[in-house]
Parts: sequence; structure tokens; C-alpha cells
Amino acid sequence: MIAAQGICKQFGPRQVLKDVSFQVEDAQIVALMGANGAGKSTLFDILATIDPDFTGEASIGGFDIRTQARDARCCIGYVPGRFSLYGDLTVAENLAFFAGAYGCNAADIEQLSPYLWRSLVGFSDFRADTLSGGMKQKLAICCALVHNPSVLLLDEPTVGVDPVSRHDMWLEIGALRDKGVSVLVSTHYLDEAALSDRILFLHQGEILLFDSPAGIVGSYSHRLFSLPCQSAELSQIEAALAAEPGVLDYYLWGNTLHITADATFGGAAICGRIPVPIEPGIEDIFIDTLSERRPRV
Amino acid sequence: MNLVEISHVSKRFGEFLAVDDVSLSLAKGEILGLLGANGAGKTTLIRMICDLLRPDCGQISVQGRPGYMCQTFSLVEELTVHENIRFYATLFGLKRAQIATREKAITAPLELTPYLNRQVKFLPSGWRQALSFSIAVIAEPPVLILDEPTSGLDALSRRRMWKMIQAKAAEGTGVIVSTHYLDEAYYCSRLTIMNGGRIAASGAPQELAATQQDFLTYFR
Repeated sequence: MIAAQGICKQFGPRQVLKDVSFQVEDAQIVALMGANGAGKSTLFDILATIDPDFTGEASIGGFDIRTQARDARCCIGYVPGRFSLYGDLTVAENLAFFAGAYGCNAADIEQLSPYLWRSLVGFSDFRADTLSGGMKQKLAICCALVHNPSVLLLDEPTVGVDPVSRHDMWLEIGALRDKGVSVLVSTHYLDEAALSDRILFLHQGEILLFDSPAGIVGSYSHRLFSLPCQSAELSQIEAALAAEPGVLDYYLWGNTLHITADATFGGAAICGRIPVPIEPGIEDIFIDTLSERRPRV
Repeated sequence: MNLVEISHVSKRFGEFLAVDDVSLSLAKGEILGLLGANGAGKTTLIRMICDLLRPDCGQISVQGRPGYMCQTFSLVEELTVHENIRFYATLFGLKRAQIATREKAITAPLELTPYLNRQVKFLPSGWRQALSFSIAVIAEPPVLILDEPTSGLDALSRRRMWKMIQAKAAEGTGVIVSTHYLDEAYYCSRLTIMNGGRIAASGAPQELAATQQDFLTYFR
């Protein structure tokens, strides 16, 4: 379990975390979301007992991270945002090193991380710095799992990871949760956030939302429409939208345009296409919440 | 004439064939998206186009010196954002007045302006990307090569970055961009999907896949 109470963090004149309180229960995945610079990595460093310079209280697996940091560390598997691997060691040597540091056996990784290890096993003798970015991330997670931790802190584990491997990672994360592990994972992939039990939305160091994915989607207060749109046609459609009442915002979404609107939007055809009402996803909520709060330039 | 012309290029690392007989071209104003699993050969191909790696066989011709944004951003940690831009722009041979105008024009739409005086080592990762992009485009190269420019960016910053990429293409720059975000595939004028070092599919995004998930069929 992770418990944080009133965590504040100051970098010189800048307050990067403001009164952050939350819990991650046993067997629960909490996705940490927020814009770049929201304070996510700072929070990870504090929880991982790397940065003791904060105010407030936090415990990991029941151990206070300040007064019982050593015990807390034994419970934590941590994958920082930047690679934590030794580039000139092989895959097998990296695992053996981390296992040795915790006094356990690297051979257990096959049981501890079956989904990730199956794609790494063929690369045992490859030096870590010759692996592709996605493989490095998988190895970093395996190294964080060698001591069978009860709390997993993953800072953007899927950055630069291809969609198929991302799927494997989430199978692993789900399996760990089912074994009772508490997982705090930051991500910019909103499809991943939707797979977690709760979403913690950090904005400029403060918690804006802390709810289940369904709860967050349910809090959406606008109407959302989808319109087929190739990016080359955008300027033409933009001009047509400017004349429509009730349009609050719009943004490209693959081969469509998502339009947020209020009650006054009539839903009439735009450039000969009828906007289709759709349910918002987590990414729509994220964009909506951030757009409202970002400073206008 | 095409800005980039690649014909029958291969590259081997020891036993591992990273790029296997790849041919492609890039025209003015085109955005070519490179998709594929980790290890499919995207970065190796990109590094060969940037003349950082020599192909074992085949030909590569590129017009001018490409602007390159790599995954590990070569930024000077001790310098501020503004100083990094000035440092690189000076290396590229730009004049002081030119640098000032272009810095403003590039950093404002990326919303990097509030961070101009922050040291890079204290810059959140998403803003490092915006800075790397700014440096890649400041000399106005005819060809822009972006290796996963949006990975690690939040949903808003990602869309901001794509607006800039499309604006560059509209000015006539040829862009080669790799990504793992399948929705971004639709923002490209053409796609090349790599698998095991070879081209698994290429064409306009709408021709290749009606939905984002359909792209994955070429990955396996």
C-alpha cells in the first residue's frame, strides 16, 4: 500500500507539489496523469525515498519513508523515467546485479515477470545499450521486479514502446495487481489510464481529480461530437466551425475531429458532414480540463 | 526532384540485419510517417538518412543538411533554453538578428517562451522535446527528420507539436517522422510501416487502415 498525506515540495521559489494526499490500496493500479511539468516525477522520487527534502507524510507497505526508509525500500520496485540500466552489462548481468543488490535470485524472473521476460529471454547475452528503446524499458521493469516488491512505482514505463509491447506490459501490470501489488504508474497514453482502477490527475503540483475512469468520464460536462476530417482539410473545416454557435473547442483525433460544444450547438452539417455525438474518453477529459486551465498566449 | 531518395539500402549489425533492402522517397511538403515495432529498423534507417551511419549497400541521397531530432536530444544541460538555441543556431551559421526572430517564431507556438531562461537540467522532459524540435528547425532545413518527437508528451503538447510539423510541411519542408501513437499516423501524408527491417506496407494512411487498430496487423 502507498499512503501519502499532505506532501509539499519546493524547488527554490517554485512550489512543485502542493498538499498531495492519496492512497493506493493493495491490489490496485492508480494511473498518474498530468501535463509535462505537473510534478509527476518529483512525486515518484519522493515516494521512492530518493528525495527526502519534502514536507508531509508518506508510507510504503506500512513503513514511514523518512524514519523507516530502509524497510520501505525493500517493498518498492521503481522504474524511473530515465533508464536505470547499466549499458555495458548484458541483459542477464543487469538482472543478476539487481537481484544481488536485494539478496535474491535472478532466475526467479521467469515466474515474477512472465509476460515481459518471454520477449527478453532471446536477448540474454545482448548488452543493454544495444537494445531498442522498448526492450530497455521491459528490462528495466524486470530489474525492478527481481525482489518481488509489494509496491511498484513506474514513471512513464511505456514511453517509446510500440503498441504491441505496450499491450504486453499492461498484461504484466494487471497480473501483478491481481497478485496483490499496489501499482502507481504515470502515463501519457490515455488508453492505459482507462485500464487502471483509479486515475490521479495532477495539475501544477495539485490533485485536480482522483476517481475511477468511469467516474472521471461521468464528470464531463460538455457535449462531444466527432466529424470525419483529414488533416489537409482542417483549415476549411476550421473556417466553417468559426461560424457555428456553441462550439467551445476542437482538436484532431486520428482521421476525425473532436468538437466540444455547449447546449446551443445545433449539430448542423459542417462542410457537408453531420457531426456525430460520441461519449468522451479519458483523453477528451484530459484535453478539456487542461485547455480550460492553461494560460492563454 | 525528390528531397530524399533511398534505393535498396541494407544495414547489418553483426548477425542482426537491422534494415533489409529498403527503398523510399520524400517529396517537398510531404510528411512521411515511419511506423513499426521496437527493433523494426526505424531508428537505423533514420540514422543512415542523417549520415550518422553508413549503409552496407544501396544508395541514399538527401538535399541539403537535414534537421534532426533524435530520441536522446543532444542538449547542453548547463545552458538555458535560450542559450541552447543560440549555441546551435550559431553552429549552423545563423546571424544574431536571424536567430532572435526565428527563436521567437518557433518557441511561441510550442509555448516554450516561459521556459527560455531555465537551465536545461531543470527542464521537464516534455519541454526538452519542444526545445530539441526548435533546434532541429531553426536553420530552416529542406528536410526534417524527427525520431519519435511526441513520445513522452502529454495529449495537448502532442497536438501542439503536430501543428508545428504540419506548418513546416505547408512551407515546403519534407518531413520524416517516426511515432508509436497510431492516431498520429493519420496526420501524415504517407506511411511506411517497417517490420523486421523490411517495408511491410506503404501508402496513404486512409488506404492502409480504416481504424487505428488496423495498423497493428502490419506489426506482427
